[in-house]
Amino acid sequence: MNTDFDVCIIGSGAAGGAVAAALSAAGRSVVVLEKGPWLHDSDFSKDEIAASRRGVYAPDRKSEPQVVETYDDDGWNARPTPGTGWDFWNGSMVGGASNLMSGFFHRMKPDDFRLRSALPPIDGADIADWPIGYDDLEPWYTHVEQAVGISGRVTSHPLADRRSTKDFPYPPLTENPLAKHIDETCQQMGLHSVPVPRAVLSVPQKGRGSCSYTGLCGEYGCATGAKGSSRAALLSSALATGRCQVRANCMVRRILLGPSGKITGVEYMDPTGQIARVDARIYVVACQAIETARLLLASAGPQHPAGLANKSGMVGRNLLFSTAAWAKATLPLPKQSPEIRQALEAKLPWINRAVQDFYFFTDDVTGQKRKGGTIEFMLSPPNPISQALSAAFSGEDGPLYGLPLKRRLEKSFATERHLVFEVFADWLPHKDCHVTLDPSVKDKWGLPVARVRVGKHPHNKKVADFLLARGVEILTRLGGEDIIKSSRGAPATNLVAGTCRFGDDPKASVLDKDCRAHDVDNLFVADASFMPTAGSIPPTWTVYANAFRIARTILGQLGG
Amino acid sequence: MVDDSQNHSHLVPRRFSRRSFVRAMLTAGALGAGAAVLFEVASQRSVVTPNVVPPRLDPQLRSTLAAAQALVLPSEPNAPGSSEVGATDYLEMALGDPRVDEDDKRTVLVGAEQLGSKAHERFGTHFAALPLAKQTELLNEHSRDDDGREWLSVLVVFTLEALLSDPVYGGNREGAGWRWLGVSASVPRPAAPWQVALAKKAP
Repeated sequence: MNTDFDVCIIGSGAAGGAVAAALSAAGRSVVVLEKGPWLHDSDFSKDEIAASRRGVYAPDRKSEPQVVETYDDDGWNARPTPGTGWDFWNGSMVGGASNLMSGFFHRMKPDDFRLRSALPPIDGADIADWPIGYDDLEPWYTHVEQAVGISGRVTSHPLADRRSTKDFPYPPLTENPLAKHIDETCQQMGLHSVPVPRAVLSVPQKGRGSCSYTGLCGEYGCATGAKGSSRAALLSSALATGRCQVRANCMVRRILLGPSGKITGVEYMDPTGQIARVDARIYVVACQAIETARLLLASAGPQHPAGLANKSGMVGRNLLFSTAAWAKATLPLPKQSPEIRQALEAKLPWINRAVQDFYFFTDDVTGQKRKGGTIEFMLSPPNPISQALSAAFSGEDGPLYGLPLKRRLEKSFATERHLVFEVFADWLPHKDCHVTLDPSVKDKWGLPVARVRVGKHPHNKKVADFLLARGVEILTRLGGEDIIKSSRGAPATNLVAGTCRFGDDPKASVLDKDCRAHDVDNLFVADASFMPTAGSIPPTWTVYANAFRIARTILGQLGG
Repeated sequence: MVDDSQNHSHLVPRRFSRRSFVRAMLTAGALGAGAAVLFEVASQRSVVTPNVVPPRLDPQLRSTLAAAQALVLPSEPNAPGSSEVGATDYLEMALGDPRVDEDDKRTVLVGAEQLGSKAHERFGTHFAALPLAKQTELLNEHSRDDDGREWLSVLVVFTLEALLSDPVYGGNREGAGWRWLGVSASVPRPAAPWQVALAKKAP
């Protein structure tokens, strides 16, 4: 068959990059279509205004709106996102959101693959088991350690991952000595403070630099190449084969289905705004869960009136996030022991510790075993504007100003350090949490946008509250003061999954266990859309691992 | 408002505006013509601008804003204030930044206009020409109700951004803000404001 390429990948993020790297390494020709611009290591700086205050690496909602549906007193209300405070966009550029991740990497645990079978049901949550288990993914988790570059050290603890290799390929990043203090305090409390692996190189490797210890991973691009974005770690090697082309500033409009029921091409807007086409033998969609669903729904046609690959009606349904909660404690320098004070004053940003003793817990009302989650500790990243705003708005009654503001700023910067933890809890699949196509709002390309209905199960917040309380106990024991807490049951919109769940039953899933569309033989979905449940950890390691796994299937289908 | 904890915590939401109030003020023509035109210019500014030239604020409005920012961050012999760090230059540039929330731009201008009007009504002169004690009194009074507090919040946010952002954005002159608070700038620093840096990458 004569096509432009063997494989066309839509989206160059974690999943797209992994598939591109695997297939081009195996001798296949690959084109990657990426909506955003092509930024390189040298384009990234630690500009707090750009990266954190203005979020310039994500699309501008004015020209690329989405529509959010929330439940108010009078029912579901849909509004375009600009001005609402809602923002579902993440990094839009070659490498996608993986350029901006913090890179705290966790494997899912065996029961995460079978939450329906392993735990009592929860009313109103459409929890489904995965059609694969931990053992199917384990070799690929290991592959990612080398391919993306994960630094860390294995320790023994009750929920330690079963591993096929002894340790990580790269030694752990240098940690702030406070991490040891956290270890000791947790041990005294009967808990396990576990080193968290990072998708960040601790030594230079394969043309990439090592970590420069700015402490600014999350929201920022990495100037040294140390962060394991799909751009720095994977697309670079894909491009080096000479068999992979990346086309940036190319927005895919539609996927075209032929009379035989196979995809015959993809239509996209090229950088000049002209409509262009490319075809391939196999197509892989990886635009992050909301945009992947949007593209499939927008590619409806006579054979698939409800959306491409949507005979099940499941495309867009069971949208998942992580349930977010966090707390922050002040560690006043004058009150610390000389040892701790020295640790806090050192310019060593990494703590890299998590507590997963509450990954499962017993519901104290029903006595049932429940899925809990992860509590991850970090020093507050060195964003001075953010720190100043926290100081200014620390009261109840509006901001400080004048000399009281100045004195409070001096106190904060000179005498305080801030220790934070983030909670990761499952977001339960819910009938009112889904993506559809908006009937009227269009983006700057004239394309109908995604409408995101954010229905949430009340259980999410109960778990987040429980984990928050456990984390606060630890912060208190560490001597943290003026603890600020947040648990609103809100979605962490940078961790998005679901919408094209995989499964063995074509009536209840969009994809088979190899992430091939049940209804369309030459279509795969590689991003986190495939997840029936998204876990209580950042899912990126799992996205990378699964993408490498299904690349093997794609290779087999191509005949090599 | 969504909890934007994302990869790390933000304690303070990025936007404060009371949308309906601000829109009503705009359509009711309560804004001076200068500020309304300024706002329209700011909002039409294209992303792909080779040189980021900020729209010029009406001089009287600018002086009110500068005086208000000086109340937020007064100058002291050993610690810089808003005028040393160029906070009003920063604000002017931010008004031309397409990624700054449009409602925040409106809020900061509307509130400053109102403060200026109050100064004229009460004392027959510009806000900036009043003695500090009278300025403080007016500002406190103005920021007592919900909308006034909203305005003050937005002003404080802009002013603290001016204090600690990279000097390419017009504030934190020669790193004076960083020096005062003992901040070592994280590297690499930006060579240009984001609009210039990203314009080269746009199609």
